[in-house]
Amino acid sequence: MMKNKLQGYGFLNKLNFRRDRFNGLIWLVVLAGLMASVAFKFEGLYGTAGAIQSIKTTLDTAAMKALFGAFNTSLKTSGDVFATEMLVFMAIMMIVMNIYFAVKISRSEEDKGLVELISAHAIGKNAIFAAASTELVVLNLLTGILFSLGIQFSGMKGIDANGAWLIGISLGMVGLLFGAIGLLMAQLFDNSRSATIASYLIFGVMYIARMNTDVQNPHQTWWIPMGWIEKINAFHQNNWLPVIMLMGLSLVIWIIALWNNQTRDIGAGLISVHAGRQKASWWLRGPITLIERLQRHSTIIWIIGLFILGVTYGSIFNTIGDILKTNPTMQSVFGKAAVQSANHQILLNFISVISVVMVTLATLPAVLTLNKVRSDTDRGYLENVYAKSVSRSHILTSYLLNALVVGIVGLVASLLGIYLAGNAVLDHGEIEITTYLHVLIAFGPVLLLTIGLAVFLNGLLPRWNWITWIYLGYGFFASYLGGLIKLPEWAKKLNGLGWTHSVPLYAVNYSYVVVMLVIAVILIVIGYVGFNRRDLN
Amino acid sequence: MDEKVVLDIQQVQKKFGKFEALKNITFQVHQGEVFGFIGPNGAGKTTTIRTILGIIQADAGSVQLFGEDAWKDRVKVHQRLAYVPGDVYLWPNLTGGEIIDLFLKMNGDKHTDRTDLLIQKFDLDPKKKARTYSKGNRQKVALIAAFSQNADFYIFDEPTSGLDPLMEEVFQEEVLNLKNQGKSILLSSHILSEVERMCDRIGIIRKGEIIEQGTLDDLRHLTRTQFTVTTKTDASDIREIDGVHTVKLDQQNPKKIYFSADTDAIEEVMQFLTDKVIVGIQSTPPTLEDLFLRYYKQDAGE
Repeated sequence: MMKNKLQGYGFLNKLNFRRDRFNGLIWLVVLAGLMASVAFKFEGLYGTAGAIQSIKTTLDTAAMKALFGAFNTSLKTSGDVFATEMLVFMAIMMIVMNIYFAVKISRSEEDKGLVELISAHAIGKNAIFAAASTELVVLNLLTGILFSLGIQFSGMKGIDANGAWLIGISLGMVGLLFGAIGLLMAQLFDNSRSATIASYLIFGVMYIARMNTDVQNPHQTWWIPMGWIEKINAFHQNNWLPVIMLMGLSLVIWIIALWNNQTRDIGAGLISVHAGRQKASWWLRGPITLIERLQRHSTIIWIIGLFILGVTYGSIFNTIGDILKTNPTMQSVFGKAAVQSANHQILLNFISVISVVMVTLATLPAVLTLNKVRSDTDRGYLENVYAKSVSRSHILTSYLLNALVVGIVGLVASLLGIYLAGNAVLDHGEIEITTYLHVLIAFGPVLLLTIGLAVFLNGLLPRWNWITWIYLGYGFFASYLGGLIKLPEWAKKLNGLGWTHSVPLYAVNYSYVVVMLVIAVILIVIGYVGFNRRDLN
Repeated sequence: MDEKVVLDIQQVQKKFGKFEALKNITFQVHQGEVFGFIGPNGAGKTTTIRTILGIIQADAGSVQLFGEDAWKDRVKVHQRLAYVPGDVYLWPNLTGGEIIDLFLKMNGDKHTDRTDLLIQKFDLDPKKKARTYSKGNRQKVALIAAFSQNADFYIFDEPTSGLDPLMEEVFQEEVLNLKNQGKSILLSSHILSEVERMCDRIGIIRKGEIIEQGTLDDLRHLTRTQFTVTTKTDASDIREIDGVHTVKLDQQNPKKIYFSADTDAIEEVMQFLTDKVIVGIQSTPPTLEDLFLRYYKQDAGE
């Protein structure tokens, strides 16, 4: 019986690995390469007691805890700094990779009708789900092992094999947890878009929750699965308990997903959409409103999500802007005015860092929308539209407009969230709205630049439209982690984020703003010309 | 040929990388006619149609619709064109009714009583989300939108491959209806009986080339008629006649022979047989299927 249910499992595995070999390899190489290169660099950065001491003061601030996590490891060696500060960032990367693959190999395949095709052959009932699960396990294990090896041979001081493997495997397990969550969402929702959004929402809630507990009471972070990784204490106690907990929880979620998978029909979901309208509404009348209509739910969710994330960041402003917590003697030495001014500077710096997060997150849905030009063409959705009396520029514009709206409104919503919540919790030294306006002026063009790149690629070289993701991912890495790993200035400037000039800590550099806008417009124009001239297939 | 030319394709070529998808496509569709476009899978039917629609650009040759360039003036010519692709894919989140209306609006048409009538005739539930539709139902959505559009030229790419026989009949009825209104239709199909019944002229495509075109009678002329003849005296010498092929004797009755004859040879064949005194004779004109298979087999024999 069991054998029968798994019939074709080996064959499906071969098929899946063939299908994803390119994608999977890129993720693997980028993530493992990133981890290894940072590890190899760390001894040079934090090899001396002085260097460690100076980073320690920074890391003890609430702002850094919010971004990198809270740890009670005492920082003595470069290995210690690495084993704490790299975890949250790498966990984010693992989560993004797993949500992408989990939804792609389950619900997207179903959306395309491939599962139905495969099920028609002599394939066991559980084989498809089992093969998808296997792919995720292998992917995370491989990544984890490569991480471990990279750390073990990095030459950092204060490391041991046990700790190196603990870091690697725990990151793999965080990945697996979200792989399981992605698989579960793919069972609950009847389309890949909703499954992806739901997975990201869970990730967002966990990220926000752990940020709050880290800042206020790190012990509470034990309640949040994503935060378990902060508790491994590598190279010291080497606590494997979080790994076991992550494995256990992944297993539980996986079983629920499996159960859902078995009890439902192919193509269906637990949460599905009921019957709809008999006729199109007045609004649904052309490509622009069509894309708006298709993207509406995800657009609203992204905007609300970004606003909430902004509110959450803003709500810790009183803790972050309170330098006395980490440096109690300061007021007696410098006086109250100096302390308040220092607090203000810290807040401005924090805003400039979280703006990187915000603009990256706001860019995500914009690029997702634009890249649909290609996938909607490939899936044949646009075949009929191309045969209509509608120009190609009109069609591309419908995607671009929707991308611009979700990107810009999302960014504004997040800044608004920070502004409202930040000022609500601050007793004095409220931050004016003009400060956020400056942030918008400095960071908005970065968003437009990435959108421009996406238009350029989708218009001219649709097969290469994934390059936008590499560009965006690199920018996020260089800006979020660049300071910590002392990335050279030119490397940061490879991405638009490197040209934001740490606004609002410093003034807006308008020449950078203008240059970025001009480049964005040029990219968009080339994209349009390409789209009008090329074959659509 | 004094009718107006609606579609004029001249020596169109298209390469995808090194693969020559279209080597030499030349044909015309005139006003008020149904043109049947037949050929095996991968012969280039869909590629040709995509060239006509301006979705891809021909490397050489010209494609003109209503006297205008199909690539450069695509937005303008699409105003007068309706199209149903071979594989219809619809946005899963929209209902069939919404998609029909959207398709109509994009060309400046409206949902009319005729649209409702067609929805009824094709037996479609327009309130269901497209994700729940079968292939046949998705095809119906595209067909209803196309038939209720007020176009001058209709392109159907294997439109009935997912429909049941009842719906096939509705489809044929609607196409004839369009034809009676003087509209032009390009029908690419695998179902030869359908093409035989509806099409005025036919083009056969093989490996990116139009190898034969004309009315069904024209094409029949190019092929052989099947004969079964019983004669009083032995007629096996018939194989000596030029244009007579595949002569076989019946095993039980050596006076009964089977053969096929080229149209040009029929006169001579009849004279020969009359001399042998015909007892019984049956002749079958070639079907489109024979025609098709003949070209197809030639293709395979190369």
